[in-house]
Formats: sequence, C-alpha cells, structure tokens
Amino acid sequence: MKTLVAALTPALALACASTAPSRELVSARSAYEDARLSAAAQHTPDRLLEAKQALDRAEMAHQDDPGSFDERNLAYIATRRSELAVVYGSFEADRRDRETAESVYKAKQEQTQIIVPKASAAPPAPSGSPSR
Amino acid sequence: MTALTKVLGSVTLALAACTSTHPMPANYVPAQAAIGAADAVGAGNEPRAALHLKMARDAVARAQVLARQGDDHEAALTLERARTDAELALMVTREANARREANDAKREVERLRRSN
Repeated sequence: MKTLVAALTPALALACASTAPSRELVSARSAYEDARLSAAAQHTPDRLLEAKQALDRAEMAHQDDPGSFDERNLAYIATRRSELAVVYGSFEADRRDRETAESVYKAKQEQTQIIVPKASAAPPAPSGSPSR
Repeated sequence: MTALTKVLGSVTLALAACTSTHPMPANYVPAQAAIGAADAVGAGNEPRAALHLKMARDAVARAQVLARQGDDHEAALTLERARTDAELALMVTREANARREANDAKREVERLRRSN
C-alpha cells in the first residue's frame, strides 16, 4: 500500500501541476474580481461583460491546453479588458461628477444673480442715474 | 570566401526577402490604429498610459517577427494584446483628463460657495 501511495503521489502532483492555471490566468481572474467590484458594475456593465467574455476565452484555452501560448496570451488580454472596464467605470463616474458640479455651479450662479439685483435695489438710486 | 559560404549567404538573403513580404494578420491595422489613437490623445505624457503604449508597440514588433516566421496565429494573438494595451493607454489618458475636469468643476463650485 505504501509503495502504491509513494508511486501515485508524484503522478498526482504532476497531473495537478499540468492543469494548474498559468500566472497570467490567476492575474486575469483577480483583475476581473476587482473590475466586478468597481464602478464599472454600475456605470459601464457592457465593458464588464467584455472583460468576462475575455476571461471565459482564457479559461477555455486553459481547459483545452493548460499553460499554452493561447492560455497565457488570452489571460493577459483578459486582465487588460478588466482593467479597461475599471477605467471606463471611473471615466463615467468622473463625467457624472463634472456634470453634477457644473449644474450646482450654474444653479449657484443663478441664485447669486437673483439675490444681487434685489440687494442692490434696496438703496435709493442716485438722482442722476438713468431710470429704466 | 568559400563557395559554401556564398551559397549560404544567398540562401539567407533569399529567405529574408521571402519572409519580409509575409503578410501581417488582418488585425495588424486595428492594432496600429489603436496605438495611433492613444498617441494622439497624449498617452505618452501620462505615466501609466505611456507604459501601456510602450507595451503595445513592443507587442506589434513581436507580432511582426512572428508573422515573418509564419506563426500567423501567434502573431494575431500578439496583435490583439497590442490593441488591448493601446486601448487601455487611450482610456487611462481620457480618464485622467476627465478626473482633472471633474476636480476643476468641484473646485469652482467650492470657490463660488465661499465667495457667497
């Protein structure tokens, strides 16, 4: 029995090693998780979907031929697609922030313009000033 | 120079001529276009974007070598890498600009609040 275990252990280890994901695929999975938790999920779900599709391609390449050129490169692309999704999400958040700030600015300005004429209308106009 | 060396030299030159005319994969043009677009928005001036732009250019150079060797599939995949890196360079630059604009707008609002 001991001999059987001793003989099988290296074989099992070899089998596991051959199907272990590449470093690139591990990074791609992690990058997708980051993207899933980022502003992309709310603002740019289409980009997140692209990242998921890219990761799926890499996972399929891993299943077909673990550690292959295709797996490593598709995983690299998947990582970048996830990073892109995060950036698109941030871009959209920035755009909305700017629009909100501009609306607030405009509202404040209008408020100021309403208040200022009322305040200036309070004191009597100089006698020589043109009347409207 | 021996005859053998001359023949070998000629063969090498002929091979170089053959391989240099090997067509690039169809996604060569989109990859180059993506690099051009990233360059045009100033990706070279944004540190993170500049890194991805360089990666994209390096990948195109590698793809050219692979295509010359006849490794079309590998060349195409390497060009896809290049395009993705170039797109990331472009978006990182655009996002950095958008963030600056958003921060400027917020500062303006704050300035207006304080002045009232």
